Amino acid sequence: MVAIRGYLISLLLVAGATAICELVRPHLIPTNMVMVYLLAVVAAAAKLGRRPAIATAFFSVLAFDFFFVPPRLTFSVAEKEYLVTFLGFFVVGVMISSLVAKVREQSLERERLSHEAEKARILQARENLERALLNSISHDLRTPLVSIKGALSALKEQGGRLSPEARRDLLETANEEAERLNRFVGNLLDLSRLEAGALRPRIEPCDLQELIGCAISAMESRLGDRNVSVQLPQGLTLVPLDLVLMTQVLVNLLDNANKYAPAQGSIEVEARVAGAWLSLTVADRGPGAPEAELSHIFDKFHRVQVPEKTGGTGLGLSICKGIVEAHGGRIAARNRPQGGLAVEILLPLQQGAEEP
Amino acid sequence: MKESQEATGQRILVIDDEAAIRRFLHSALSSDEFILHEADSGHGGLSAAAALRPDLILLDLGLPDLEGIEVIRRIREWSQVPIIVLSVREREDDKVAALDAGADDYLTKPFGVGELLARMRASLRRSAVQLSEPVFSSGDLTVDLNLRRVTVEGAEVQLTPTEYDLLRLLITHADKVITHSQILKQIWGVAYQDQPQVLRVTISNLRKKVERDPSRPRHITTEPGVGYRFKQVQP
Repeated sequence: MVAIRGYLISLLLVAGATAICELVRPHLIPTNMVMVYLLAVVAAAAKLGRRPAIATAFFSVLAFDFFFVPPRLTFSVAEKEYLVTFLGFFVVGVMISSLVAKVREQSLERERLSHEAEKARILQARENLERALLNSISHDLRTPLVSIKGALSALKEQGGRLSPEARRDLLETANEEAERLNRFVGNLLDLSRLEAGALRPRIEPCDLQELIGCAISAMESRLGDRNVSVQLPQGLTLVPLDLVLMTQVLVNLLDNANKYAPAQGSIEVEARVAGAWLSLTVADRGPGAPEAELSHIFDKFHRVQVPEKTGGTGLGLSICKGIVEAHGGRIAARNRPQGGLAVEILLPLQQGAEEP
Repeated sequence: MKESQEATGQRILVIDDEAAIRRFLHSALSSDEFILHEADSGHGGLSAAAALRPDLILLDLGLPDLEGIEVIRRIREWSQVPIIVLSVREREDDKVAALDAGADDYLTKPFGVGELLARMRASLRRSAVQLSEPVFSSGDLTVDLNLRRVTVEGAEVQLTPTEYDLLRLLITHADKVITHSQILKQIWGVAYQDQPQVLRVTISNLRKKVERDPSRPRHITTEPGVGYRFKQVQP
């Protein structure tokens, strides 16, 4: 089917060249028309491959002879010199076909090879991640369980001998650690859904203020009385995004800022339009991250090394990255000149504009 | 009113197949305020609901014999008893389906007892008083339903007719989640059910008029992916 289509297109190319030659016939001697046909051959070689190109050369000779070589509208040739033109044209046509087709095949092959190399690289990266996941998962799941089990068994077995303060402390520990465990399990589920491609954003026009409001209210209990300043662009209300997933991205970023920034420092959330993109930035006044780590903080289970316990799972930012990329957007972190970390998200304002 | 409730005790039916969760709810909720009954399957829950006529049902969505959504539908065929869904499913679709089938509220497991009690009391309150008062108030917001007059901190605010209708719908279902499609159907009609933008814009405008800080709404809160909830502050 494909082969027949190639030859049909070569016939069309020849017909096109013939039509052009017919238009310019009053101004051109027949031998110069050969150039137009040669163009058709080159086009066929580049787009269709070697065989259709040779066919194009062959059809070109026939058409040229029939339509333009005197006596016109016959295949007979008055001046024998034209036989040399035919032969020359045909040989040049075949050579060009071979050369162009070869270049085309080489570039196709290169594409295939680099595609395979990319696939192998992704496979390797995935294996590394999976190993890291297994190593880290048992640790991160067990740690809170140790505290919960410890606190509850202490209460059950020693409860009568403990002071009321000690009992309250144990209960609070168990409760906090249970919440941490729940967040971690939720993060793991999200990450596996993202990786399985099952977490498809449902993109709808959403209110920016509502998005930021949802994120702040979900963080309310963890933020305490920390100040979060919000800056929104004038006049822009609805932007295309998945409210549920982007709320989670902002919650994770706020949570991160909340964890690393000093208790009194405010967190700044800013949205603005940057060309065809919506830029959303969450910035804190914490210690920032070492420059060398900036590009890795979105990797799974990566944690910026800080001395005091921060209780992160190393999953939040990689979930952000997964969700942002599923929106066709980008996420990046930078240190602010005045100190602190700024994470910027870019989301396309026109959904689908990216796709070819 | 409170005394009479405590004297009789509200009948609560728990439908959940997990014994550990029934046990936890039993210890956490049993008091003078509530009398707990349990069912461990969908069919068991349906017959218990018919026999006991509970004041409120706590329903798990993942039952072994019957989909929780189906349980809601069958109960709704004959009863308007408040139903609160308890589910480990986090997907918004499941919550929306449960609410659209007639559930009053949902809580994602795990949850704290304080949160559960607040939701239960809100549902019970709603079923007891069907907005008999012509003047509704919550915190700094007052809505006079007779005069169609809305004030914030004593100052009157001008709402468009659509904004007013939306606010009235939300306050008549105070403390309850209303799904996007339920709101769209009631305010704009069935034809708008697939156009949540009109709702988003109206909510945004309404918040600018009745919320002190629209980025941190106190009255009209968003349940992402599900709908909206008017949070009533008790005077």
